[in-house]
Amino acid sequence: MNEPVIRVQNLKKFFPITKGFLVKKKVGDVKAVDDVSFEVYKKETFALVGESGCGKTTTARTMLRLIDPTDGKIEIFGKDISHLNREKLLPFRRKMQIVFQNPIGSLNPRMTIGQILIEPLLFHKIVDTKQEAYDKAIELLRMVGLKPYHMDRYPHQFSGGQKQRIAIARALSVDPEIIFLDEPTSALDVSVQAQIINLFMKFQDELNLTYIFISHDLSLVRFISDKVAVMYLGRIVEIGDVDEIFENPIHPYTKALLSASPIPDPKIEKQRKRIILTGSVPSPIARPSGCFFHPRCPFKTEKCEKEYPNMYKVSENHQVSCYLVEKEGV
Amino acid sequence: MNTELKRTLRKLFKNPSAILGFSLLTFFIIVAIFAPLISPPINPMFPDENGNPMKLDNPYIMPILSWSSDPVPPSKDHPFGMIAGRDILYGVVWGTRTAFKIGLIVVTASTFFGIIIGSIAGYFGGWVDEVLMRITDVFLSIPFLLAAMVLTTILGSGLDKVMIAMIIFGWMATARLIRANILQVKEEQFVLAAKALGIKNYIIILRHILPNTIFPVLVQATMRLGSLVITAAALSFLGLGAPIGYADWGSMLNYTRNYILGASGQALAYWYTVFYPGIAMVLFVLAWNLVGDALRDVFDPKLK
Repeated sequence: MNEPVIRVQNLKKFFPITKGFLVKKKVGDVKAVDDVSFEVYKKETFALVGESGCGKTTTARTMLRLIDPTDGKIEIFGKDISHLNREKLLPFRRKMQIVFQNPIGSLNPRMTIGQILIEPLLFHKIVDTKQEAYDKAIELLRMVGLKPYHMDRYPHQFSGGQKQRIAIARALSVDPEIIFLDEPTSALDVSVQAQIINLFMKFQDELNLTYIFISHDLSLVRFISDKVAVMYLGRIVEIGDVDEIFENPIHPYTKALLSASPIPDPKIEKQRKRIILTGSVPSPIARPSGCFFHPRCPFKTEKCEKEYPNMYKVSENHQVSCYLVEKEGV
Repeated sequence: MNTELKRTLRKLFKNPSAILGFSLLTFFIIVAIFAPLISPPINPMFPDENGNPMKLDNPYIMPILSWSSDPVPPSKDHPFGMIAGRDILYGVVWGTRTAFKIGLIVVTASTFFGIIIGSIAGYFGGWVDEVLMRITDVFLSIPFLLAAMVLTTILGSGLDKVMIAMIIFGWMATARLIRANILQVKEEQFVLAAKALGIKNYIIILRHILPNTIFPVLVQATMRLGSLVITAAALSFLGLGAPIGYADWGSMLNYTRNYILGASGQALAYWYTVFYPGIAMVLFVLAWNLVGDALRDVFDPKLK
């Protein structure tokens, strides 16, 4: 098998909680990302799913080194970038880009679209002259389905979908190989979502892109991703091929998540049994003992309250961190 | 871009308060520039050998035209009247220059310090922020007039000393404003996107953060320009500012202290002593406030 483009090993990101005036005392940690490991191969779409606050976005931002990791390794094309300084990181910045959730906030309101697209081109010396940068920017606009005359407009003159297209054009400007999609469609309405998703799929095909896809929308995840990792309170609870996870979920949390996503057929939808979770996500500051999910889990045992379950291999491409595996004898 | 500018200007000049602000400001600028023509800096009391009136060494020191210090009502020679032997028109006209001088220097300097301190605190955060903001709090906790009085006692009185005092105790609002703006903008996704592109820190500050934070500060600075003149006048009125006889609106009011209440039975007997310097001040502040308002509209990219 070929080498993975991304290998994340035991990645941790803790945000310290401090108290005190001038002299700060650490009183605890928000364990946003705790011991996360996974691999992503070329041209794959790797999805991270989970409730709000489970650490999906922090994982992505830490991998991009927008936030410094507390511990662990982030290998990109075989090189650990978790402690590189700004200069040494530059070549990797070109390889990894991000498209954010909120298209309004992701474009500088005081720069024209032209300026927004030309800045990275000149900064990374992808082109030599301003004229070439201008031409390349127009080409990028065409790629995402906008017109050359949009170059001199300001972000507020565009609709949400158009802004997202511009953000995609900016991400593509440095010829990246990996793009992080941080809920790129959740702020758009459904018809526009489909257009944007089609755009992503087109570029993945044409430019051999690898995607890290963060989403709440499970039917979308199933549609576009190859692998999926389900996160809960900073940890991956189930990971594997998308079909495996959707057909044969083992972790009760995954099951609950999947059952929460509606099926667009009223007949099936009516007959379907739903798993309703009670309670809410515990605080990431004071997590429950043992398995973090046990207070909400309908299948919890004594063991679950004491010890956090290891990752069990269900099959070649399916791992889960739950004691149910043993019971079911997989 | 040029059409943008034209559209902005057209929009601006459809707004009556903006027009009023800019015309008042233009009027004051013209008065300041042509002060030597409106009120020639000469003293007719002392002719030189050729019989021409003596030229003043320092035009900002108002010439003494009469030995009586009582107010003289407006007349043909002195359309604004006289007080303490000095022509009020002369004081108001040359005082315009003083007002601009005080306003521009103090605002530029204090805004500059405010921006530096505020942006360092905001961008770097952590203990740097903590230390700088506590210093700001200390400065804010001292009542301004008291601080200015203590400083002028130490430094000696004079217009430049008052300006130093106003700079030292005038940067805090700007620092807080820019810090708050930077705290807000630095978490914006376009800043993260620039970071993800590997753009250098100082370019991020200059191109992405400052353009989105500086305009409120500029608007605030414009509005402060007017009110600072009042503060300077207050200090001059208290005798801390400009030296005796200096062409300064505040000092002019200082002369009127004994006449503000009018003569017995005639409360408005000396109205001209207060009215002309006072109205100059009011209009000056009004001009800058209206201009500040207009600039706020211009700087907002969403209104373009």
